[in-house]
Amino acid sequence: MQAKSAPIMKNLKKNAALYTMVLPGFLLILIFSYFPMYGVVMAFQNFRPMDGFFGSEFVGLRHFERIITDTLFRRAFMNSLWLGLYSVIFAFPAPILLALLFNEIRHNKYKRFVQTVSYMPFFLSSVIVIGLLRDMLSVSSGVVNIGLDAMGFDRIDFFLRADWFRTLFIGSGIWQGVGYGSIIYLAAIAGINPELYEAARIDGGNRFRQAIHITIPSILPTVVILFIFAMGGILGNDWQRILLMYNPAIYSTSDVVGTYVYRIGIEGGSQSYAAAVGLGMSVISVVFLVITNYICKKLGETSLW
Amino acid sequence: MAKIKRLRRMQLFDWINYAFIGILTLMFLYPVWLTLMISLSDGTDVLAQITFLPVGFNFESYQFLFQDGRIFRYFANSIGYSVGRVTIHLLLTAMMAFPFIIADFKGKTFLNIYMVITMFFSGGLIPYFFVVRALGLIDSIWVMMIPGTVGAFTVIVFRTFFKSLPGELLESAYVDGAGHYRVLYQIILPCSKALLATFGLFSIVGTWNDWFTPTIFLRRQELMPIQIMLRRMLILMDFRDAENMDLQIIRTLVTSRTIRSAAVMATIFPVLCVYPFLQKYFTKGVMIGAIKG
Repeated sequence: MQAKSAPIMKNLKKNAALYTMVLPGFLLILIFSYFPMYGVVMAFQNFRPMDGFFGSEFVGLRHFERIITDTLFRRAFMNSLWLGLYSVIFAFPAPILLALLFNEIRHNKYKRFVQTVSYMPFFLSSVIVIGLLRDMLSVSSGVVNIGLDAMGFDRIDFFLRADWFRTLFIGSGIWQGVGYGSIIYLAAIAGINPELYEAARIDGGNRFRQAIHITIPSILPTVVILFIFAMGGILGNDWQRILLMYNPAIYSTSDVVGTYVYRIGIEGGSQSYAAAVGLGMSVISVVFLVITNYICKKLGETSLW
Repeated sequence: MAKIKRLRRMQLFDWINYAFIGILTLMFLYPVWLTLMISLSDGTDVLAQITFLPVGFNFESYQFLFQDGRIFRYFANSIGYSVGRVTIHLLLTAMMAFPFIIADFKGKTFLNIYMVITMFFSGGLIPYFFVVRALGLIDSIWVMMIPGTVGAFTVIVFRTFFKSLPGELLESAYVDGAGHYRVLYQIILPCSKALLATFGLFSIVGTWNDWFTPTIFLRRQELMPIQIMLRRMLILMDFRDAENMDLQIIRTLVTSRTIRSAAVMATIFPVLCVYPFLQKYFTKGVMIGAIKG
């Protein structure tokens, strides 16, 4: 271990085992992360699977020019943006609020029970979550429509209504992730120095004021970091879940960039164009991340870099 | 001390908060409860309105589901993929992380940059798909078990964890003449059970729930995992996996809806059984990740 100055060959020989250890991981990252990065060249090609990444004909920026005039892309982009914004407005604060409420529960058994239950949906697959949602919202036998009927309202065919899609998507996302998302904030709350609360109580601060003046400022760095990530993912949506929810009748609100790329690139035959759209979106996402990070840095001390 | 002092008289806010959280908890449980009740209901009464308790009571949907042998195949595939993937994942991640704690190992900086780059840049779905395709992994069981098993984030967490282990353990082993592999397998890994349990469970649940990878990369029916069957039944309303169902419905108490619900319960039953016991590891996993982030 002290052979720091040993010649390289000797080191290699002595520690050959270490290099063989990293080799499989090195290769997997090379193949499944770096090869696809190189594969982005297909966005500048007329890519044909038989010709491969090296043999396909180069066409320059033609696919990127097509993006500008593509109305389906424009629709998908706007849908992504709206869905991302709603998600930041509703889904992002939900676990923070839940953590604050959990924190006010003073009976530990009750607290542990409700926490355990709230994490549970996170471990169900999206297929199951959306499947349950479809059953509950079904027109003929779903509980929601049974309820609407009983209260004298008309039944609603939720999954065929474009105006309901965003609500269902964000709502089911919150149902699935809010409990699990609260863990990280509870961890941050647990790390707060109890003396701060002590001092506040002596000064006569009630619990609401303690939450406003101690708890929230203390978890703010965590909130900001996660917010920056959320802004970076604002166009990413959770599009694989959308694949399970949407159908052509509601594309007007539910077709986002991710699903559009999937449809034309994997189900359809415009691989190169799809790759170009995907590349464009990654660039925009990085820009979102950098801008948010910059703003957060200006406003406070917390930022990613 | 602070805890005890906070246990004062229940105020109005507490009652509202407890009630609100209680209602939320019921909302988390209700869909699963409802599905269980539907799966136990008689399907014969098509107008039956199931909201809280089953209409009738029977296990025919489950019998029906399992009487067609294919579901066992799907389950076996899912178990196989989960076990295979978690083994490869833990082994290769530990092997990639271990050399970072050895002073003699050259190339730490290079490997670190090599990994961090992948956290910020990726080729995107389409190039990834065609790379996997060019490698001949379509319709291969390995596509479920190999891609993405070694990721920058997990390696970094493993590395941090290994660094926190007492260094004397390693030194005495090396003095005794143990090789690097022996130190990893006989000293480091046995000391990292909590870490392995946490990331192992994440991986198993992730593979068990993965429906997207098999959707795009698998075609052959005999390779499909359970999520593909569920997707057909729940989302696509395709009942090829419950053959002759139309005939069966006439004679029995099942409908597509009760079968669907039974399939959901059968899939989440293993998860729900172990969940309360494993839950603490998941919580720990978030903490470990949070410290890094």
